[in-house]
Amino acid sequence: MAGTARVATESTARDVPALHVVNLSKRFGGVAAVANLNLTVRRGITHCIIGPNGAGKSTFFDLVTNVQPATSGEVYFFGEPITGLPQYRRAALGIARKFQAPTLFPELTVAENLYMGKVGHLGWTSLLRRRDIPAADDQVGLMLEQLRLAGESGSRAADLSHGQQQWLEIGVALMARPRLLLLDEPTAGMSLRETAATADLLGALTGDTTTVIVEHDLSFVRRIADVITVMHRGESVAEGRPDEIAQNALVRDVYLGRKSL
Amino acid sequence: MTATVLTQIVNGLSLASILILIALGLAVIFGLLGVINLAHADLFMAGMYAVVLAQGVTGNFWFGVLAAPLIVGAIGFVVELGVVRWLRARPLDTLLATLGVGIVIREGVKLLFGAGYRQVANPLPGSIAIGPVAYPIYRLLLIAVTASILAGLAAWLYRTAPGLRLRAMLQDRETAAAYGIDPERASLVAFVVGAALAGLAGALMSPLVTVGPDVGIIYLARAFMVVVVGGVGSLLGLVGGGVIIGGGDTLAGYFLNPTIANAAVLVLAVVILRFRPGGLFR
Repeated sequence: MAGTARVATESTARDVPALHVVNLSKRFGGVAAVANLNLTVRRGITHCIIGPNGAGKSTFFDLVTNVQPATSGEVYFFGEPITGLPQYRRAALGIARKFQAPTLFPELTVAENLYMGKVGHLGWTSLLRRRDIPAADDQVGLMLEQLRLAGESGSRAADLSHGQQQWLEIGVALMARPRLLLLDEPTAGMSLRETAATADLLGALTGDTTTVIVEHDLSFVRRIADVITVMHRGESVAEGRPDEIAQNALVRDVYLGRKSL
Repeated sequence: MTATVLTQIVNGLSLASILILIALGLAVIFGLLGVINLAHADLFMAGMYAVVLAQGVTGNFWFGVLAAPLIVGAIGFVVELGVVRWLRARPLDTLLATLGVGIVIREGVKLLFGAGYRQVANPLPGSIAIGPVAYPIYRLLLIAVTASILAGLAAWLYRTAPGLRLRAMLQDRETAAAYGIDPERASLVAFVVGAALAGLAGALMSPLVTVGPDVGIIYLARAFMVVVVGGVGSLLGLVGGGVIIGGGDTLAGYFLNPTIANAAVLVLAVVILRFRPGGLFR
């Protein structure tokens, strides 16, 4: 009996989604940017959110990270309610976000930015006990290799190309070994070649980190997504595997304006 | 003549050392909290009275130098938690509030110690003769102590994880919060450390001036000039700003006269700002 109960508990724990939002809303005056959104992200997958401009995708990220407070609704992170927690506490729990606009520290070096991703969420007391120095950190070195930025480790982040900065930000977000990675338009402003390289990079880097990506570029989304949610006017209007979404008539009408996916 | 110039250079560098210590606190508090702390001069003055108190009780100057950063740091702790934290989003209000805090500290000192002037005995009177020039020992020590503090601070800022975090926060407070840094905690640490540095500067300066409740004001203006000339972002900038303002003031004061020196340094700062608004060392 005891054994059965234990197995049941474990399977329940495995089924707890990485992120679960219930009736989440954000209103600006009379306008609802996010309206009664219900969304579940299973752990270990890459979940893409698509939708036209103004669909509420970035606002959704703001609510998950609490850059803006939700008007109403609940947010659960691995089953724990985190609705009222401030931004820095959520980061410490393991929610990492790459913003649409670059949020690197421009005057710090590439290696220092990565190191910030590793130690930023640690408390002051644990930092005082650390003896390692940023330049000689193994995890930083490995990430520099994976990002193909090893040669730029001492350059200021501001001196990197646009594409390199975007990759560095993804690397920074991953340095904290987050339990949930949120990427806001990781290919914005990239050339076709850079976009393709980003897809490869993400596949290799994220591994089984649960990743939620907001993106416009549909060919990119189809390459990397396990699940796609389509948002429209703050609501989720469709959800499924990439092939299901591609064949969904409603999605084609509402979102794509009859353009083929 | 050469001997006089060399002596004046030591005097200028010792003033520069004090200004750098005051400016460090101002710059960190401004950089991290966006608050211009007008109480800083009075925290500096409180450091001097910490020495007056310690010397009165124990008879030992150096005990006062140790006590000053602790006492003034504690004042900073109370001021940040009790006043600054609640007003930070409103720049004009923080300006007025810190001005008010300064008045409270000044009047508090008058209540405890009286409005009269005090003299702190120089713990190391006398000079060292190097060749034909006699250098005051205490001033040399002052320069050495400041240089060690700056070297330690530089190593901490550029070689350790907490130092890196501080540099990151100075660049962008909001982004730092996205990295998991508690901005409230960081603000408290910055304010306490800034206050403690002002207290230490006051303690070290106390044997060289007549100690009174209003002694801080003149140094506040100069320390602001150091921040303006050196820029908020860099330690090296503050050192450069300190040497230019402190050295310029002392040398011009000696060879011309103190009033012209004050004016000249002010003009210099305005000229530098005109051509390098971000500071001379950006």
